[in-house]
Amino acid sequence: MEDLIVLENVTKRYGKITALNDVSLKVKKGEIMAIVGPNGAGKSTLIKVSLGLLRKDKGTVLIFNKDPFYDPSAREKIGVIFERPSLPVSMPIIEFLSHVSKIYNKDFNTIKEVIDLVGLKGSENKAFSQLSAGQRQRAAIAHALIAEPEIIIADEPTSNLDPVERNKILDLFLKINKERDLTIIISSHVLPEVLRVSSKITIMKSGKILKVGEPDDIVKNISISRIRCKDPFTIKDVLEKNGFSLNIEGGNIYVKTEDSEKTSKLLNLISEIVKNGQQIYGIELIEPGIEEILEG
Amino acid sequence: MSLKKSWELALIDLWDSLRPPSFDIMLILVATLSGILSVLEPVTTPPAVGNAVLGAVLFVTSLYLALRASSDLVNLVQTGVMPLYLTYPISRRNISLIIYLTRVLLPSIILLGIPAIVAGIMLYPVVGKNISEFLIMWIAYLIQAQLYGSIFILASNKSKSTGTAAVVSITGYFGYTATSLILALVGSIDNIKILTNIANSMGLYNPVYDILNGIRTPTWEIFVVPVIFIVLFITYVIYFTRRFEV
Repeated sequence: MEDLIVLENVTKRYGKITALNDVSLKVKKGEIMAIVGPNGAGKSTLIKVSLGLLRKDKGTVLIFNKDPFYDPSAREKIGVIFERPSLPVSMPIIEFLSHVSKIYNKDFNTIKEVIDLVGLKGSENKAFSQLSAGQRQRAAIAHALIAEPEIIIADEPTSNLDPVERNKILDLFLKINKERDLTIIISSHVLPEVLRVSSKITIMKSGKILKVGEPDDIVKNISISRIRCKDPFTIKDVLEKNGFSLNIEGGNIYVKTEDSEKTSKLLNLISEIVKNGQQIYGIELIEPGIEEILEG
Repeated sequence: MSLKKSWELALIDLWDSLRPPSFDIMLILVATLSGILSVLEPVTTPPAVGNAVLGAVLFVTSLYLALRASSDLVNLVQTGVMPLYLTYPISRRNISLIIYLTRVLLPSIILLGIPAIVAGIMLYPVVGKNISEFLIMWIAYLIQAQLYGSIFILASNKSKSTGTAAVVSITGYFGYTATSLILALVGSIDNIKILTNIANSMGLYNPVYDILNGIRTPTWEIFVVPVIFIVLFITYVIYFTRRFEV
């Protein structure tokens, strides 16, 4: 499959701070690439350099084999969604999209299609400022789709949304990826959130790419068990004696297991603990976060 | 095709640039101001009408441009609308021209144009004697506004901070006019002709007025403001095209 976006040895500095340090990345057609990292990892800078919004200090950035900073045609088939949806505040959405559709040489049917697709029907005559947070993000997605792009680049598109809206927006990304065979780059600081939607994950920290791979390769068999119980410190002692690494946060015990065998052993041990009279309110297996992946 | 795309973006940005209420308030203010000045000022020639009305309006227009350029442009960057513009398949040069058109050129044409029309109607017996002379004065004031506007827009682009841009813009404007006043004062007190000429040339409307009234003026005075404006404008376009980041 062809590489639609190519970054080679890209470095970007803000004064003395190196935001991107010799970063190389390729995004293939049809992929949903998640760029994950804590705040300050360089995700937004990577996205902005890729779009030509920021100048690179070193390296090569190519979108469709063109440098987006100097060649505007590189941005012809790209839709962009920023962290904070940012359309002109006072203009009705339909009117704004109408102007944008002319920039991309699309007709009015395209506007109707994307408004239906993102679920904004009925709100299209409102101004951007009159929309709810979720609707604003949907309007931003509609705007990104107007170009009938081959690539969607979304910089933390769910960070300002509640969990329900987050899932809806991520499902929408999955839908447009499948229906339109779009390549999607999505950045997030929450790994579990993008695990289910991405086909490839890039993990960044301090301006460097630390890992790139498919979700299963990245997560491997690491899982985190969250145990809610009456007496966490007694259970902690038992688990530690049996060789489990854990920590207590907010009264919950978090146990990290690296393979399914160890997870099974943990669950058996918990069962024994319950039989011995310890009260356990609940146990959940949750996806690992970035830190656990990097440690593990 | 590129022009069509740029035109659409200009229409989007104009919506924001000319949105009520501040622009409308300024428009009412300058129109009223020009009406009052037209009645009060004893003028007998079209260039004198231009000077009497547009001098005060230029001051108001410059302040408006300074504040709007600094706050609006920085807002565009901070709210993420400017990054959005830069993701469109439109060259940075064209985007810089669109921003200049919607944030400086068009507002100054309207803010200087409406008072000119008001004065033209109210003082038609005077202006009607030679409309082209009145128009030439108007263009001189418009070019002067472009000089100030290009300082403001350059400051906003470079600083990307509302406060800094406003301070630099206002300081730049008053610094420029104060320099002109000091040069004129020193030139007249010490009878240094070149200083008086430089002071005169810093307001394009001065040599234009002199020439239209048959007063002998060095030709170079006509070129000072347009040249400074062109240099600042080109610097702005080059900066936006090659260095501007959001």
